Amino acid sequence: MSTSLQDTPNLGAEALLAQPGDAPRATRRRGGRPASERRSPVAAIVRWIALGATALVMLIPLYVLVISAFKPQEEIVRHPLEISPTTFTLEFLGNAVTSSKFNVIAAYGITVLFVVLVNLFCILLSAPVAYVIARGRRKWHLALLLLFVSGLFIPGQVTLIPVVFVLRVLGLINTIPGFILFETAATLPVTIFLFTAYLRTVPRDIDEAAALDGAGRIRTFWACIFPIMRPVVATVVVLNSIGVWNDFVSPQIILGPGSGIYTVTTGVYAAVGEFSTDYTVVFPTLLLAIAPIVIFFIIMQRHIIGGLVAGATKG
Amino acid sequence: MLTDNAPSATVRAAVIDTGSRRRPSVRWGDRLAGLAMAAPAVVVFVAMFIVPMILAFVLSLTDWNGYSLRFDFIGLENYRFAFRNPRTIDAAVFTAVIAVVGTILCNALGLALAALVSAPGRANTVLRTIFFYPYIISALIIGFLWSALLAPHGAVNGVLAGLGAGPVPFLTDPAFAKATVILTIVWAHFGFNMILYIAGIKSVPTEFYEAATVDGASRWQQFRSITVPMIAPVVTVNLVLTLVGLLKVYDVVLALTDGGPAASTQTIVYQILKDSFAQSRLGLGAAQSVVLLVITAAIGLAVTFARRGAERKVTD
Amino acid sequence: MIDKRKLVAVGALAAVGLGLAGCATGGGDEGDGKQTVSLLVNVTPNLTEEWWNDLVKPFEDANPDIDVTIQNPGAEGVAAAVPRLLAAGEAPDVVESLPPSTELAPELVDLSQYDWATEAPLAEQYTIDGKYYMAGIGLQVQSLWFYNKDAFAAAGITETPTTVEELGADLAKLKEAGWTGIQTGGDWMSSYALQTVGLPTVIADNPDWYQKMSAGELTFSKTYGDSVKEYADWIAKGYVNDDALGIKYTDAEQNFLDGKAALYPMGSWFVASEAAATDPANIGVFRAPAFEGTDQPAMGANIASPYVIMKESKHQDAAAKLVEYLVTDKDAILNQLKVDGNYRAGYDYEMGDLGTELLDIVTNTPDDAYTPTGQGYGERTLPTGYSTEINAQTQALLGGTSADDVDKAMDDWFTANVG
Repeated sequence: MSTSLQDTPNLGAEALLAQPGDAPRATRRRGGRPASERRSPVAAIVRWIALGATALVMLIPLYVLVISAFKPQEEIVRHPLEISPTTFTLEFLGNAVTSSKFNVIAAYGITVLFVVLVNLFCILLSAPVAYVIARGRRKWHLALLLLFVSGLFIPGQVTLIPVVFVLRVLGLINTIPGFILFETAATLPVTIFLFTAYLRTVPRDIDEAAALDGAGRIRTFWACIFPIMRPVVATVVVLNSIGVWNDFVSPQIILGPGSGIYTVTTGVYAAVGEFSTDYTVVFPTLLLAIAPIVIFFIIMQRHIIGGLVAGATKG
Repeated sequence: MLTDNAPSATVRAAVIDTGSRRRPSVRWGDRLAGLAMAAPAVVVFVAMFIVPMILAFVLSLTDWNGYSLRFDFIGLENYRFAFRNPRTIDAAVFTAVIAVVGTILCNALGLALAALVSAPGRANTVLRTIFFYPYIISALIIGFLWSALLAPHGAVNGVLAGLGAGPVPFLTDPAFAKATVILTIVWAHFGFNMILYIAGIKSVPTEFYEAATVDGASRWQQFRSITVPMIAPVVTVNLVLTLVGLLKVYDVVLALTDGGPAASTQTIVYQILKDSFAQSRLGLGAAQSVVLLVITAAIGLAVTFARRGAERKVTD
Repeated sequence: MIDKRKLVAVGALAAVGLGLAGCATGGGDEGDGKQTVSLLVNVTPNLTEEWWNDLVKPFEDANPDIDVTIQNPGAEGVAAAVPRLLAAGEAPDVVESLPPSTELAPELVDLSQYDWATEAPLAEQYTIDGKYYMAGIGLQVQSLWFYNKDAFAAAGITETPTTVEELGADLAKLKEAGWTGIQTGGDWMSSYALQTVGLPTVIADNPDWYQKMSAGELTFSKTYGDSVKEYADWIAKGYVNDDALGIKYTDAEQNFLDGKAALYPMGSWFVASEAAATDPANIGVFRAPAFEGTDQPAMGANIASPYVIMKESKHQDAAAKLVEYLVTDKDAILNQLKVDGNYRAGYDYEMGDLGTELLDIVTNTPDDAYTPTGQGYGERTLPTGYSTEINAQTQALLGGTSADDVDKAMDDWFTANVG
């Protein structure tokens, strides 16, 4: 993917995650920046101590979380940093997998389903409207953009109370469609903003060429323009997926107990909430909850970080 | 930059692009198609954002208890109550402290580490990943994790006890608990700020550094007089995002301290949701929501305007 | 082709919507005349979902046309779930453990026509404007101190205290003997000890305390102040476990069962925990005393497992049948009383020594000594949020805030919330 169009939205990310020799830009830069050998040895030592200490602070909690999932309570409390073969056990992880309060497998399934559906509907709704706005020349196009962008300043949690009211009127409260509807709407402001910004960089010649072929506008968009949007779609998918996977308040309120539907976060809350001092429940449950997202992050980190950077700097 | 503001871009497009008048015959079809393409998103957005926003204001003027659809209009009573209720005031103060202190710490740490690990190289890539990973984990889970680690019988106090130090009341003393909440948020969030700062640092043309090096400027001088001013727009983005984000902190508090001890770590969103659902005063919750909404929007807009100023300075 | 694609998308959306809606909605009639009655209950370590299903099984067998579904509100509990479900139009038919209040009453079915409701325990106390909205199965007694008999013996205490002053003196002896006096904890249970110290005197001195506090005719500091001071004094003297704020209800209970503390203020449901515990300490119970000079100490009590029927229910008759079964069927009642250690006159079940001691207390407590605790019930209700506020302020006490500051904070809270 080397056309300039496809590179632009992820500019920050490309630069950021570039390995030596990864991209011409990075190579050039590396030569230009003062290299580490020019530093004094003292500065280098201080730098590595600072970085090493910070890295430990970041990693030890994760390490304790992982090893504690395989130890009995007594060991977790007495020897928090060690794991010994004599006390190693899969019992508690097994309990967490089969817990009646938090059906992990079902929660993964439900949450993945939500992630997929929200992404799908978000793109289906946002891409066409962003195209109309990006190509529009009238006042109402601008008004439309401002309308959606205003959503960036509305914290989702504070509209939840009236949203419950609205979903009730629509008969969608405590249902998956109701949740998908709200969650999709919550993704629209950032998505439409990013799509519009991206589409403004796509030359109009492409529409014109397609239009001359006699294709309708909707067809022109999906057939000719949408495929070009792949990089920005990837950005949006990353942003929305992380957002939906980690959301707690919306599913907790919209999908109440009556629905019996638990996502990973609401499931963790139900399982850990009142037993947060029983570490043989806490650590295995948390490990199960974060394992997929951390693995996904490690595999996809280039795209994830790139997407977040693009989303933040433009949204 | 890609971040140019929407209105001017639209205006530019309108001025430059007059070609479409060539084919008036399809314009009606085009407009209908445009409508069809815009309508679904607008309907969903209006139903889930605009209507609820208006409803929030209406409900905030009522004594709706959530039990029924019957309610009375009580004017501004909810607002009056919110502003004199000690709990709401405490929650608002603590939220402001989180937002300000958290924003400063996240950005100071984020910028410092960005400067240290922005250069390419395998070690730096690994470090960036390590600093950043908590950001992709749900705040609720971060909260539960640290609550387990910092409890009186948790891992941290376990290690301290091994060193002969007494237990530290991370979660059980109001002052400590407040600090714990803020530091936990910083722990999970600064990596995101760092990533944005790195993106900013990378966008500074290398020629500036080359010239400075030739002039004999030290790295610190280069950082202060080239990097910091050049990344001003990124600083503002970071400030807005962190500030606005921290004003709605909830999940991490729920899991970490559940607002305690002695209600010392309740945030404004915690208060809103507790009033609304646990205490079934949805009118009061709505009133507090409206206030939060106004404050968030005001801060967001204020800093965005500041950001435009900073950007202009750089591009000019 | 493009239109086809759009159609497919719309079709998929609709299919997903309909399909998921179909599997997500509960309740409603099932076509063959069978009715589904939903029962929203508190699920606890004692009252598991399985236990609830077993409880209603005989009823379902006897009424093949009624199907009962148990709804679990999860961590938020029934009280928080009901308003949200009502707002959502997903009201359950029957709700357990939701005592009627003046706010709630308009949403509840008036049960005054049923004998099983008007003759149920504490029915009179819970009426609102003379109407009966709930039916309960027994009593939960709350103003109790469970105590470790070995600890008392070790400290040379031969008789259980009958005044707060005596209790304070006993705590001093316990401390001298090396015992942690009172076991308390963080989360919701912090205020339990304070209320156990205070209510017997406060309510005995001001029988209309709840109404007068709500009307702003009394102040917290003037009525409750002595008790707050006493408890703060105990905290300062180290009579309370020092890690209170760091531990939760389940830990606190376990500590006391393990014999790590001498006294544990808790409701009668603790008897069930004691009975279920393996190798518990040697535990007794005495009624919470009042300050010297109080004739008849008040006794905090509330209805155990009260049931209400929501007005929005579309199966009110079937719901009434279910509630009638739950509050009159002997086996069902005994089952419910036993599992949570509750009591009802005339319903004896096999109970251990601790249960028998408790039954003595219940037998010796006159009806008019019973008072609500916390937020209150019936017409004796405090402003919403009192329970969480008194709990937060007790945590402040445990954290070293002075009694005067707590009194002032509570007065301020009442000022803000009354009227």
